[in-house]
Amino acid sequence: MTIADLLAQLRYSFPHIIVSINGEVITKDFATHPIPDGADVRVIHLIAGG
Amino acid sequence: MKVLSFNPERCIGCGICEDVCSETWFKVTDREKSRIRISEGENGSFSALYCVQAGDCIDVCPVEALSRNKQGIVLVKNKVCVGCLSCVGFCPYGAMFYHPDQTQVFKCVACGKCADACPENALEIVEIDTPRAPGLQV
Amino acid sequence: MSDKTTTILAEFAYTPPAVERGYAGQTLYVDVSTPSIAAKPVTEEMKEKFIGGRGFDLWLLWHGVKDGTRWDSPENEVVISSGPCGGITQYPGSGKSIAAAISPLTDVMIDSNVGGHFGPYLKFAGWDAIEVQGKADQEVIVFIDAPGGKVTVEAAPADAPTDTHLLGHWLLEHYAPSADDYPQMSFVTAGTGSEHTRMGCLNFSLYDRKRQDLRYKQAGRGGIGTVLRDKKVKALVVRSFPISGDMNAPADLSKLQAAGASIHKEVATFDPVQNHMRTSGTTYLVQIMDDYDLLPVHNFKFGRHPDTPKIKREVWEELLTQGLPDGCWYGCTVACAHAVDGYEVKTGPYQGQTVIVDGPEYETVAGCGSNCGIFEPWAILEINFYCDTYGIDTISFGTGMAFAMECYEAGVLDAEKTGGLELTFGNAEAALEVLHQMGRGEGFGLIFGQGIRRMKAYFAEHFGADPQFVQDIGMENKGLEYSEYLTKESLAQQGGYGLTNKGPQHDEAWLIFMDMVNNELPTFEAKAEALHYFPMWRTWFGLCGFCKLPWNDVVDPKNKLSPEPQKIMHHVENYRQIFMGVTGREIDYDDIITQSERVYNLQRVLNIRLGKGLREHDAIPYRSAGPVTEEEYLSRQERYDTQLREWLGLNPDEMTLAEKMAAHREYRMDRYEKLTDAVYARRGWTADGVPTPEHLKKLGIDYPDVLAVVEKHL
Repeated sequence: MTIADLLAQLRYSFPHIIVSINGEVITKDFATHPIPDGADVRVIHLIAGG
Repeated sequence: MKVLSFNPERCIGCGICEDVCSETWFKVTDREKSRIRISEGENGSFSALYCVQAGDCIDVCPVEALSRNKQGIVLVKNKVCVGCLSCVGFCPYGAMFYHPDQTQVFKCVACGKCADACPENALEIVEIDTPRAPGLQV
Repeated sequence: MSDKTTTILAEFAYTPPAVERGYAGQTLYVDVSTPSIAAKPVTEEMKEKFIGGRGFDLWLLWHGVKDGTRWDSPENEVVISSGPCGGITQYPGSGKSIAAAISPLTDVMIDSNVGGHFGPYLKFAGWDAIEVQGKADQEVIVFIDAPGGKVTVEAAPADAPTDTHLLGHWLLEHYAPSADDYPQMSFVTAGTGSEHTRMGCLNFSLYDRKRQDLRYKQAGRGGIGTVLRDKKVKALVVRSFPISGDMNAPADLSKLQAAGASIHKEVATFDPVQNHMRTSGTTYLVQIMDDYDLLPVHNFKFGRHPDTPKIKREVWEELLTQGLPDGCWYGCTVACAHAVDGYEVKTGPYQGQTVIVDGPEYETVAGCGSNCGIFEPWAILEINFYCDTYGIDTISFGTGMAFAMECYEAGVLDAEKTGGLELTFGNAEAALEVLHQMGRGEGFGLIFGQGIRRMKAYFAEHFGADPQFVQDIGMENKGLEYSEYLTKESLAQQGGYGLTNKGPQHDEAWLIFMDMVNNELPTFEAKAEALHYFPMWRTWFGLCGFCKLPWNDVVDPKNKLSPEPQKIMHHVENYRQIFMGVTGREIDYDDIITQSERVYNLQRVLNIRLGKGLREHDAIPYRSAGPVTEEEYLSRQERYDTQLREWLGLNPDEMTLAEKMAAHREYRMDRYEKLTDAVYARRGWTADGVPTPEHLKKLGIDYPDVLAVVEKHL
């Protein structure tokens, strides 16, 4: 599974998103970046809106 | 259209073009007021920033201060420009310049003064149909 | 061309002063009762402590009104100010005006941040603010003619229209000496709907050079248009000087240029892959909010709807005219102020006319669209056009209509009570007819136009509605209708709407992602800190004349690696540089927050002075905190049942639906109270929400008349 797959599954469509995998911040290539099994994945949404 | 063409292989980075440009248009010798900017890369070669008359800036201007003349040169109307710098941010080549001594932006109009003065013939005015990024135009 | 036939009732000659470091140095006072006109000096203390914009509005209102002043009292004022940075051209979103008055909806001060050219032009005409007091005995127009060196109050002739799209053209013809002057003109107008309701908005015009026509931006919230029309003021007109890049005479232009060049590059690079503001404005939020279950649907019952794709960004991108520099002020490359050109009006008095429709923005699409179950773009455009020209706030209209529709479906209303209108969710024609009734001042539109708070009371008194039910589902706080985000699962945002000065408008704080999605605010203290920092930071835009959007609606991805990415400090730094560059005053990040705190706290005290502003006035309707109806609970049963287990240690399998709903309600309302305690403590307020004398002293606003107000409540 890639980061993009995960975001799509969660319906996380917001454009300002940070993803970290096992503590490492990933900023690009979500479409191809794989998520290893058992990884600690964190998704942080930056504010916008309003 | 007429545009400036820059040959990096000939440029020695002497900066005469920048001096001549600012002297021509601002009556001072000041690289920060030149409409062409030469910079040195890591491998000792030089590159130039200047307008290739692509015209991407024209529609970005909120007051129609930018337009193309019959010769294809993109001109700034100083009396109309409100100094918003939209064109500075939206020029794909970073070739629109500004300076705190004035609010209006300025850019290369292919006058050729720098080409005349270049001791290495790294600059010349050429006639082309479709501009490329700053650099050799042919 | 100029064709002046008006009668001058008062005239004030002046020489427009040169603007220095962002200030003209005087404010304009107009009493339309007498009528009379005067100049008031801007003191160093005003600049130091209240900065400008909303701060100046507040300062002038504080001194202009009495303890018992209500929206329709003669001494109520419409105040407009831009701020020291307002009118700079180098940075996107730097031409804002902040309009304020005592609101017909809330009985306290409302402030509304709006685009268009009026505020900056007013300053360049020599006035840091305009203060309009009194009530005229005939229809008047206030004309600030800077090149002519005079301000006049003039009788508006009988043939002057009231609805904005007509009045704007009439004003251009009558007040611009020639077509060359059109770009230097700006108007503030309302409309016939403002006259008949409490939710009137102000339209701020800009002359669109490419379209060669007028455009309008709306100071929507809180009924300031209603106040303007109550004063019988048809329009405020300013004629300024041709614009240039140093009209503010900044202390250091290079700081503005550096910040501007950098942000324009960010916009050019990242907007096309982020929010697409330049092609479709704020409508990008519609689908995103639906994806996160946050889009208001059917009066905030639900957070998503299968028909949302019919009103998503791509649909608006098709409808909105593309390729024009659609900033609401010079140099705004974020350019969210789009328009539909050549729109043919389909209903009402202007049916068949071809007009420009400004917008719609996210709030209008969500409020007048999904929240009312309306998923037809034409209907949203039609409502948007009429709201603007009638002078009606689209947010109050949308949220109010959603409430009325739920009342209809719940049997509180029926066709007899509405005068034959079937106000079911999705009935765009009926919603439009209510809007036209508001313009005409008749029928159910008159009841509706009073706003949700007064509809609740009316429905209970006259239609036998259950007062608790209408209180629970009527999405207003302090009398102001909610803007368009679902807050049930974000306690912090419930506070962001409720624990406010003016009411539930998201410009104070938008914390839903931080709180609900990221779980970055796990404690009451963490939420309280966010409900201190963000409202103060966002208040600052309105002090200086800035728009909030360029702060966080386009962001260089490098920001993700910064220590506090939610604050977007590299943009905060841009703003700090601009403030210093314009005013010449050195400030740090703490100073920014302190500047806002002064205004925020004095505004709170003004509200207390007006008989509100206490803890009881920060209460929220239960619909914003949890599920009111069985239908709502069942739509998210799995989530709510899980919460009962995890939060309360209850076993939902052994509970009736009514028991489960009651348990949720008790828990959710209790935690709102706990949040309130934490936020008040963080803000330096008592448990009743009153700023303490110590806090006011620390902020340097412990004036005797301010202390006298709070001391009664300690």
